[in-house]
Amino acid sequence: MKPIDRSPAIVSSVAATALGLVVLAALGPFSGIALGLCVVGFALLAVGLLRGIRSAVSGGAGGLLLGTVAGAVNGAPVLLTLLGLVATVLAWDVGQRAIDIGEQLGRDADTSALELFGLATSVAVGVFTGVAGYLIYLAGAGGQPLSALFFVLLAVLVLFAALRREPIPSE
Amino acid sequence: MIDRRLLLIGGFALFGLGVVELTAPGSLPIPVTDGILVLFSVGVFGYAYLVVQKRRSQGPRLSETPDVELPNLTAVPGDRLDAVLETFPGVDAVEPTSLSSIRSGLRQAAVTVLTRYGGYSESEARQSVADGSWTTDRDAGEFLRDPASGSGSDKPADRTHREQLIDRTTEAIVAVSNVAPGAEEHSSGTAPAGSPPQIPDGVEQTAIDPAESHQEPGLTPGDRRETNHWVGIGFVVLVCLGVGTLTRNPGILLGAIVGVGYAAYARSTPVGTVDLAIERSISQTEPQPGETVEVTLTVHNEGSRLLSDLRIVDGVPESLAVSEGSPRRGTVLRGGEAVTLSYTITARRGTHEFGPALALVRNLPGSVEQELYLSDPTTITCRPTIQPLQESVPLRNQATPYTGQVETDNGGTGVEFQSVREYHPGDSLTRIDWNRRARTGELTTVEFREERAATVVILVDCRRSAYVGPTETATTAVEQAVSGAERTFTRLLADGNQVGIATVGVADRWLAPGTGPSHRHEGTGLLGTVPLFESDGTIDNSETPLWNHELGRRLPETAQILVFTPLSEPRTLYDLQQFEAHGHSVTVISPEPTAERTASQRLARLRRSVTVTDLRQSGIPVFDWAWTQPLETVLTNRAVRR
Repeated sequence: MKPIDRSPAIVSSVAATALGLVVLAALGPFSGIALGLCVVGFALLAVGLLRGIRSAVSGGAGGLLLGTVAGAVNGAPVLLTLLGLVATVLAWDVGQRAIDIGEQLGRDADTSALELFGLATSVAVGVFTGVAGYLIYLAGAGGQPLSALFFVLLAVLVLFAALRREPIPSE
Repeated sequence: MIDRRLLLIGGFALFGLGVVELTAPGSLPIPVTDGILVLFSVGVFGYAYLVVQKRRSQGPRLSETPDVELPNLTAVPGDRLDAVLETFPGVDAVEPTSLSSIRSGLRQAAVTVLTRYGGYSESEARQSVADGSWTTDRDAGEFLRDPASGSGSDKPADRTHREQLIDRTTEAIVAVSNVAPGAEEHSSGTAPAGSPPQIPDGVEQTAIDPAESHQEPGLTPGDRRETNHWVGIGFVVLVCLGVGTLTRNPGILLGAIVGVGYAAYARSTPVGTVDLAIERSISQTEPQPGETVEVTLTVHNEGSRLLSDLRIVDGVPESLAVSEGSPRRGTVLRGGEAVTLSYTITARRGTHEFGPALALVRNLPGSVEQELYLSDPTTITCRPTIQPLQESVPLRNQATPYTGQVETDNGGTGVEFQSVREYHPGDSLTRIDWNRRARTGELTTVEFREERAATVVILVDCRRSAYVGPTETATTAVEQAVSGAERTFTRLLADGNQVGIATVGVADRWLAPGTGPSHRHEGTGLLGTVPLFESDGTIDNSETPLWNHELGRRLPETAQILVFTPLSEPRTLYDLQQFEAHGHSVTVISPEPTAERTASQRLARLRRSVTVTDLRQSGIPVFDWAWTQPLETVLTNRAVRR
């Protein structure tokens, strides 16, 4: 009687690892610190997905995030920075989803439709926000004053606070 | 709610100010200095730290799915040493957590074994255990030494060492029974250690269990919960804001928008009302044991909305194992459409009910999860066709003075031809097969069946203690007993006997001895109601107090008893001796459920063989039925000790 294989779902795991690799390739080359953070983050992510460890996936995504930021500080172009950030969030989202699906349904179940659809919607959201950010950058490319940026930032923060105070649907 | 709206309004207002500042720089009278920006960043980093802490304290919450594929496990006798010791003859109550209690239990068990197998008298045995001379294993001897008689027995400090010592001592006790001259053949006919019998069908496990699992078709909503999937996305926003502000890097600053985008996405779509229905079809409802049954589950989305994340786990019966495919599926289901999943299960004897299927529906971003239980009552009934026993049932000569009624099934003088066997000196000349003698020169004797009807009551042990087997995936001794009882019952009836049925422990299950086709039908029906695995909730299996008195009252005076029991409880010995004493000849057919993989399992086996020996010594024949052996082989073993 073999036990049920509840390791992370394959499609999502591969996708999350590939996204991690994208971040590593895009932002790693800009500085030693960025490369180091990205490599550590990627390694944690990969191990977390192989073994189904959630904290490793989250920690790995955190490493990739810091690596991206470090790359940007060291001169990565805006487009690559946005790409790295979107890919980092996606790797975290999809990686967690792989573990969820693995735990609930296991490797033997057919989950490809579920995984691909989830991946596609998350990618769409990332592309949308990334493009929006880039358009804002292009619009203000003429050297926007610090005060303008500050207000936009405050606005973003306040809006974010409003959004995360979400009412819990319960029955 | 109101402060949330305020935050939204404030946010948009600030955004507007930012846009104004972008298009007409310097038009607003608010100075933004470096110092303010640094303070702002520090605040943001503090907030980011809180977000990380929140993520750490609020891990993801998701519905756990049961292992429906795996059947529940059968208990193996000897899983717990204290339980074995409890039932060991001569051992008082054992406290499982107390070392000294287990030690004194082992001590008493050693005395019992030494007196039975080692040729010691009781006082010699006690003395020998007290001074440690009973075994060649010095550690074991030391362990059981009486603290009063010597210095020894200091408490072994660490746990593994303790367990090793207990194991060694158990082994030493078992060894006494093996080395002792004249020991019972206590492992006769059983599989050697290390090769547990292969039994194809498995046993059981917990299935999906909303309390109301006895079901009407339909949908029962379960929990709805936040999955916490996106908790922590704020970290991305805040890190980007903080670092971006400090370094004045537009790329990083704009990254905050990505984070906010996902945060908004996370709470965008709620899980609305979900309307699902299932339909389950099985390829056959009454398979034979070992046959595979294909199960097809169709899930309809009866609502109009798209279910972007639907995870289904079918409620496979607890007692059956999935042999191929998976009863799980994750998919996307459009409104009005249906998805099917199919898998095969291997049937085993018994009545098996499907539980409700579990459906987990998440919203698009995966932040909320709704549990749903979908039922479509389905039952598989597996009743193997009964093959009457090929061998005659070894009945006993009822010791009553009424000679006309006494039955015997031995070959001998009689009317009906039974068999031909080798000539033994002293056989009557009239029974020698002279034709064969003339043809081949062989001297053979014809056996005739002694045709006299007996009254037999078949007793099946289905007490809780009988739900055991030699491996975790094996059938239970109850299942063995029931299959044996069915075959014996039909054979005895075919031989013209009056046969009744009762169960050990439960007085209500009773069929008075009788004969004829309708009686046969009734009897097999009654045996079919015996629950074969503990999870079988169809029948209340609680033990009737004084069931033995109840049964004694019902038994016809001349009835003899044929008991199927794994002898898991030593108390059975006294019950059976009582019946024997009241003039009902007792025969025991005992499925052997014990294993020998661990020391305490070997002790459990020894415990059982002590009971077998006791039964035989009190004149009750015991047929030891090894797990994989056909019953015929067991019963033809005439060398049963009486």
